[in-house]
Amino acid sequence: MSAEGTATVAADATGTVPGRDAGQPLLQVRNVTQRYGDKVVLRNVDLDVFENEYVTVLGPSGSGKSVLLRLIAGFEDPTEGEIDISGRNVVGVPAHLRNVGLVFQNFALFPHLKVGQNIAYGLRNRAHDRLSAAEADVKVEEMLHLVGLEGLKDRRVNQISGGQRQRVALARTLATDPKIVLLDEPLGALDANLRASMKIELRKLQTRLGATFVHVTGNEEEALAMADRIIVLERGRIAQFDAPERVFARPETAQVAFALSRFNLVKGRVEGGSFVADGFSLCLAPDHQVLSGPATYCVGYDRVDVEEVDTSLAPGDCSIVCKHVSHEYSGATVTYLFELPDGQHFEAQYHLHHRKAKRLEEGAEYLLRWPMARAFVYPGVVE
Amino acid sequence: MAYDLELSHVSKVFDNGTVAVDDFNLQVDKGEFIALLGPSGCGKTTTLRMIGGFEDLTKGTIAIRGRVVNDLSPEQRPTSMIFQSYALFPHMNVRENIEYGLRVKKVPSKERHARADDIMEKLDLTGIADGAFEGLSGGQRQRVALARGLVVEPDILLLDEPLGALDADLRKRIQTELRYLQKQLGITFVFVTHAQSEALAMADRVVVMNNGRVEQIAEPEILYTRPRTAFVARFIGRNSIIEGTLDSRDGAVATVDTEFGKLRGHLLDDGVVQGASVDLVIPSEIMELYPEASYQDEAILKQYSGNCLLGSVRAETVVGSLVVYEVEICDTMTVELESHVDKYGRSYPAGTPVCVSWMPADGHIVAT
Repeated sequence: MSAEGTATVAADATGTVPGRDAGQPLLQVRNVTQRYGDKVVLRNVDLDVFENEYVTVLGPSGSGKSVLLRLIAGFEDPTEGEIDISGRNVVGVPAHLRNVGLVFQNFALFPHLKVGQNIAYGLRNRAHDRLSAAEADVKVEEMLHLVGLEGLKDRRVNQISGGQRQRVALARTLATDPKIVLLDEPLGALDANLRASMKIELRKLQTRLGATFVHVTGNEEEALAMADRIIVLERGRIAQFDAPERVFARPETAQVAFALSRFNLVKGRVEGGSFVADGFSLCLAPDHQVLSGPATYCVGYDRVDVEEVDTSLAPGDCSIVCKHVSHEYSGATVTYLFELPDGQHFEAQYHLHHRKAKRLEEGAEYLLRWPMARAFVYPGVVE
Repeated sequence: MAYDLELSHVSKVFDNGTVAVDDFNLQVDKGEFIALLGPSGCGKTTTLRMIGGFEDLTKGTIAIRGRVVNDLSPEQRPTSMIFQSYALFPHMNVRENIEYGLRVKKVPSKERHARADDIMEKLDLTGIADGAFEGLSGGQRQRVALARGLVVEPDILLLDEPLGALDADLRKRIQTELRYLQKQLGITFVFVTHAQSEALAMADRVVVMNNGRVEQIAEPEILYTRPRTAFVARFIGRNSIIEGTLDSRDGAVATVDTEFGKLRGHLLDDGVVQGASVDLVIPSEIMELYPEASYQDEAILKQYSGNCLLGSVRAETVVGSLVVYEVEICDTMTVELESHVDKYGRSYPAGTPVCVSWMPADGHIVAT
């Protein structure tokens, strides 16, 4: 995408929270820029996180999401800008005095210590409010109960499963009663099934504790499913910061739509009020016709209907005739794969609980249609 | 016309007496995408290795386009194998890696370059032809490995857990790319995976294996909606399974006695008799939610022949346009139901008492 396009969007994309007009934000990142030599990894980042919020930070590798977490945690200080926790600027305050807890992807547990000793470690070894063995023991039991690991206190961490290790890591962090819990790809090391169940558990735990969670992930499903609000990072900038349903309903940039993995993104240009590519054109709603030049056309997979070629269109429909290549079945959904006249890919996803599956012939042409109001166009072309 | 690939009564017994593969039969048409799916130790990799010539057969024959290949070495067979690790050479650049197989076959350099150019073009690798192995992303490495396998123009491409080395977040995208590519090339693919989601998404047909035996060979849709064995129903996952005993049958519809009362489903197998242990398999997309009060509604009960599980919504999670309901039934079972947000709106938030229903013809009964 063009740099201009991104900048315009980033300026007005910092999140406003509907219905949360009062109250001081718990965490404020103000105009933070982070450079390593000539390389800018975060650029003018502004964000507010409120108490009890679950915020996910979504971005591909290299988008700066882990750096943002490290700055909040206090492992590094920003090149420019300010970070406030409970209204106090914490730049320069060491990590262990920020009252922030961190959970890593690799769990970072001590393999030679037992589960209970791992959880007690921070309580017994911190600089201030150090607990006695007896006090720590009470806290350990409470944490084991909280994360559902009662009875595993005396196991070694190499004797428990991956999911259990993840819970120990969480318990160890929560034991210190942090105001903000930062999670760096916390489910990344788990297999698919465990990931799904931990997702729900983690969210329930946060609600029960009433703590504030900031969770960094490269997985859009996690980001959409878990968050009160999502931050989508795009090359060091906040591209969008909003409730998941709003981000999904209207991605702010083509890069945001790409990050969500649920949208067709067609490369082409806007000319004379319509979107054109090599050998075909797609219709545009009037408010999108003002653009001109290279552009990306965007429509959600699940908004596309597949019909026979001679089907007549309803007013307000956009359509294209193209070749059916194959389909992907997932149990709950079928995704029909198509090839546009210039070889670009296009997908239509049928949710089987909502729409009946179609029997399509590979290599045959079909008419694809979608409501004009559900299509967006962005300036520039995503690579 | 001969099949692209045909395995007839193929068995493999290892020297220690372990039966790795037992009477495997499969016919593959040209251009099909076949997945061998099963838990580790089920014999899927051994089968793939036998097709590639890396493992001898104990019994049976393997034929490619009508020619029996049992006695041919891997190099003599019209197959290419892509390993999970890709087995690329780190000291060679992209082009050298791709041309390696042709170099071994002593193909003249001009033809070698032309064929490499052609396959790099198809796989969108032209721009990084001179790129060092080191700088490649996971997805690019996978495409280089594919290009290396395809450049020798095999009749059949064999892939051993081809997405296994990829980051989970990349896998879905690469999976779709691979599907497009296979259709574009029209080459028969046989791939091994232990991940049911990969097999269901990519394959035209899936061979489900367990303990060296074939449990079922079918299109993904059929495996999911009409599993033939209890193993398949469980392994494919995402179905709700209720155990019980067969109470009675009326044609293709039968009644099962379960801890939740009498429930109805579809029964194909004539050999299942009254009193037999069975599983009632309910795919998640056929279940419908109703307010609990509809349990009193004669019309609804009649429509579903009394199939109603009373429960309470434990969690409602929206993921884009998808919504996942976790419903707890009588404190003993949780069923998961995925729907589209447009279908029910937001009428079943957590805590709502509901009735989970399905049409008897859509539930499926298998012997256990």
